[in-house]
This record gives sequence, structure tokens and C-alpha cells, in this order.
Amino acid sequence: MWHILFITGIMVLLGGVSRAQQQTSIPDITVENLLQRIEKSSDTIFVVNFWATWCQPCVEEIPEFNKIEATHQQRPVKVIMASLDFPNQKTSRVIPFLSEHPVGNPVYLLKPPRGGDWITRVAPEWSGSIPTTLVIHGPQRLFHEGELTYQEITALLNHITTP
Amino acid sequence: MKTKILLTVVLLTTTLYSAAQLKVGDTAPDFKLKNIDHQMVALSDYSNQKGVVIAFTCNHCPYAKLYEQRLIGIQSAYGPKGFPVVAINPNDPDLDSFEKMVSNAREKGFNFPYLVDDQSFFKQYGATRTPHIFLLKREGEGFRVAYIGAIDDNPQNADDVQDAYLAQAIEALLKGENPAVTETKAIGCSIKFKK
Repeated sequence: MWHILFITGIMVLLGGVSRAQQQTSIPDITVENLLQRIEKSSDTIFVVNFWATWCQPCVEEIPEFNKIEATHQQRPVKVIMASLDFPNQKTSRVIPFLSEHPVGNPVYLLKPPRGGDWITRVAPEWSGSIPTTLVIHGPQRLFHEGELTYQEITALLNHITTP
Repeated sequence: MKTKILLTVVLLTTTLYSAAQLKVGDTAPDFKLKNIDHQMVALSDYSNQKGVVIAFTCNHCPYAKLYEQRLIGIQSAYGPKGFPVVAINPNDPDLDSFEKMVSNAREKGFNFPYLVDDQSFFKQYGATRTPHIFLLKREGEGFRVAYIGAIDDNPQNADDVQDAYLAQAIEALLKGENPAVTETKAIGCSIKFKK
């Protein structure tokens, strides 16, 4: 009996540790740095999901994005989760959120500049609501404002041509 | 000079909705929606005002909440000068209830009407998020859109605002001028409606 409890305790601790390691690695990224990264790369298909922990439809579609890379391994697809949570809520909100919700893709905390001009810079069609998703592969660009299912993300990716 | 021309393939897909979005200068459609006091409020009720601040907002969006006190401030400052605030909750009442609107308005001390949009009226304006502001200027019997967008440039900190877009636009209209900035964008919550 005691050894089962002990093993369970160790497993809980280990689980906690591995999650804690994941939690501490949420890098900040500026809009310009994010765009440079996804616009300058010609060999990767970037799927950038703009989300936040406070956005219920965003949270609901996270599992859909979690499945993308594993099911598109024949193509160079990379998913980025760009969080629009407030910068001062990284430790109080985003990190605890990640320990409770499995997010299978790298999370960055977006640090937008003052005002809303950067929203047009990301996508002229974007009104500013989230969730919003941008798919970029070199000069090919797809934009979607609103929720997406796994099938819809796949359909977007199917519009991207690769050599 | 290096000019990078991106051959851009744009496929615009949206689960928002397809409706004509109002633009600055367009005539604002009239509405008649239920206020939290159960009385109907119409845009045409304001034909004796200089304009109206239509604020699409809701009960639980963090960005909407951050701006509640500032909307109360806009009403206090500009309501008496002829630009009253009319707040409209565009979310489906089944998902963001009328009762919550009543209690939220009471708790926060809303000094303006807070209307339930149970007719998906927001689509006629082309509102896409909360908060989303449409500043209207009265012309004759009707209203024209003078400014669309954000209240100011700092959602998180009202004490660190550099550009108070909405207040500046109202000030311009009060002087008989056109607002210098007529459209801004901001992050906000998507509007919840039944598809």
C-alpha cells in the first residue's frame, strides 16, 4: 500500500517538474521579430495562431492545433502559438494555464507596440479579434479570423503549394 | 533602394460572417433594442443630439472590462455635450445573458443604456469584436459614421494613454472639424453568436 502511494507521489512530483520546465520557457517576442522569422523563411510553412488564455474559443481550438505537426510530417509545417495575454500576466496567468492545458506547440508571448497599427502589419484583413490564424510559406499567405477545426486548418495547409 | 515585392496569395476565409461593414462616412442604420431596464431604445431617439457613441461591448471579455470605467468617463464628459454613449452587447443572449448585463451594469454603475442585441444587429454595423466603437455624427435626421475603432491606445493602463482616439474624435466633431484619425484597430474578443 505504502509503496504504491510512494510511487504515485514520485510520479506526481516528476509530472510537476516536467511541466514546470515547460512553464518557464515562454519567450517574449516582438511583432517585428515574429514577422521577420515567418516571412524570411522560405522552406517552412508557418502556422501562427494568435490566442490568449482569456479567450474561450482560442482555448477550445488549442487541441486542433496540437494535432497539426504530427499529422503533416511529410511537409515542413511549424505551428507557433502567439499569446496576446498581457505581458505582466505571464507568471500569474499564462504559465499556470500551460501547466493545466497541454499546448503541444511553442508558445511565445507577443509584445505588441502601443496602438493597433501592428495588427494591419500582421494582416491587413485582421480586425483585431482573436482567435486569428496566419499561414505563411514564402510569398504564400493565408489568413483566417475566427475559430478553426483540425479539418479547416488542414484545408488551409492544402492550399499552400510546396515544391 | 531594395523593394521587396511579395507575390501574395490571399485566401480570405472567415467564420465571422459576411456582411457589409460600415465605413467612415456611411449612414448608420437605425436600431431598436431592449435596454437593461426593459425599455426599447432606438438610434432615432437621439435625433436631438450631436452624435452618439455606439460601443459594442460585453460582460466578460477582459478588454471590454478594462474599458468599462473609461466608457463611464466618456459618457460623463461628452454625454452632456451632445455625444451620449449607447452600449450594445452583440453576444448571443444564450451565451452572454441579459441578466448578467443587468447585474454588470448595476455593479459597475453604467451611466448609459446597455442594450441586448438579440437580432444580430451588430452585423449591419460590421462590428467584429468587443470592445468596438462606432462614433456617429448626426446629419439632419440621420447619423453618419465619423470614427471606427478603439477607445484609446492603451487597454491595460488608463493612466498611460498617449492617444485617446475616441475623445479626440469627439472633440474634433464638437469643433466642427473632421477627426484626424478616423479608424484604428485593437485586440478584442470575437463576438459570440450562433452560426
